[in-house]
Amino acid sequence: MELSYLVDNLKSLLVRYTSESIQIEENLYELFTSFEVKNFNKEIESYADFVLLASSLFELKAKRMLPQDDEVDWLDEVEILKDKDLAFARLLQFKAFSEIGIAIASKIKHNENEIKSFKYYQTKNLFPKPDVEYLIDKDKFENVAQEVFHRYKTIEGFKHIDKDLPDLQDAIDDLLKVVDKRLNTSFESIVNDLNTEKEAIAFFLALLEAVRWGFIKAKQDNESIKIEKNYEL
Amino acid sequence: MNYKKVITAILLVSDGSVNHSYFQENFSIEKDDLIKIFEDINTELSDNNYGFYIKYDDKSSDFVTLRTISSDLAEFKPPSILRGLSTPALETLSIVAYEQPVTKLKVSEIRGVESESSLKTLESRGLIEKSGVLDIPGNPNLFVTTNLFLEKMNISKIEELPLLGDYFSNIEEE
Repeated sequence: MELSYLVDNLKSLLVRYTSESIQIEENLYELFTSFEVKNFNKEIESYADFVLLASSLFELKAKRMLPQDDEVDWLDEVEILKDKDLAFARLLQFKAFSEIGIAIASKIKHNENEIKSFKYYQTKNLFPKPDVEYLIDKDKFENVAQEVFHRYKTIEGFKHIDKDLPDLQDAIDDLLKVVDKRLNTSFESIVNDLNTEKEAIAFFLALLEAVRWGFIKAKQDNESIKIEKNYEL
Repeated sequence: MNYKKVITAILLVSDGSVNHSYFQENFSIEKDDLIKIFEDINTELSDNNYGFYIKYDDKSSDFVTLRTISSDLAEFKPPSILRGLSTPALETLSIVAYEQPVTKLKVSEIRGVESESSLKTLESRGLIEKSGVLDIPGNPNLFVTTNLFLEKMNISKIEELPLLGDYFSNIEEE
């Protein structure tokens, strides 16, 4: 049975039995087991509705099967109702924000069809000021600049740069492959398998980049850097 | 003074949108006259089939390309701010937008899961930023949306965001 159909069914049952004080005749167990379990992942939000409705109906049926006592502790009843209302309110709030998130994305996408005349501030906003800053030594910077201009005039030019430095994107891909395979790992165990210092530097930069984008989580204690995949994304 | 020449030149070279107050203060133009000049320029651009116009609101103005030729500009389009943003990140963005200023804990409470990485992703994109701390033990950071977010949403202040109910009014009508 389709999950959405079942949810509608449960909603109407709940509405009916909360408005009438009669015993619930339906076999709830059969009703709940009548849909195909394989759809859970695709309809996770409907499944959340399903769980809430199902638990409410079960609770109602269980209560009505008990002997009805006039001396009900209404304070307990109110507390239970409050918890349930809170859970339902949170579910609704979360679902609302999920849908608004999609609506905001759609609006931004629509607005991005109008391109502003290109100015450097567009890139400035994309790269906010980093938490860590390095001071540049003026003399060293001048030496590097002179070497760059010197090389620029030579036949070899900047070929040495491509030759010497490992590719950062490759390092990120390699790092994510390693992290994917293990539940958790450490930076030290990854760099142990590398051959050169430059590769280790590339891996460290890859680590920072992957943490920045939220692909992985890394925590440094006194001895090592623990790395694990970020399952929240 | 030929206002059209000066205004178009300033919009061309300015660092971002230009506030109306700049034109008002430096060239003694009233706001209504300024809007009229924008309209005139836009009419001329449109009549001559140019691919851009002056987009203005209550506060500022800037040159933008026409939406109708968006597909022809695909090669020149800057990468979308949304590129690679996951659904959880979008949920987090909507929570920050409507609940701001908001703490990480509050966002996590609404979503039911830890939201630190989503907040960091949004922060690194420049869509949200830290803005002070909450005056309770632990002093948690408060997050708010940025001017870039307003710009991307095409609004000039956060109060102009649609009311929450507006997103669902169509569903109710159905």
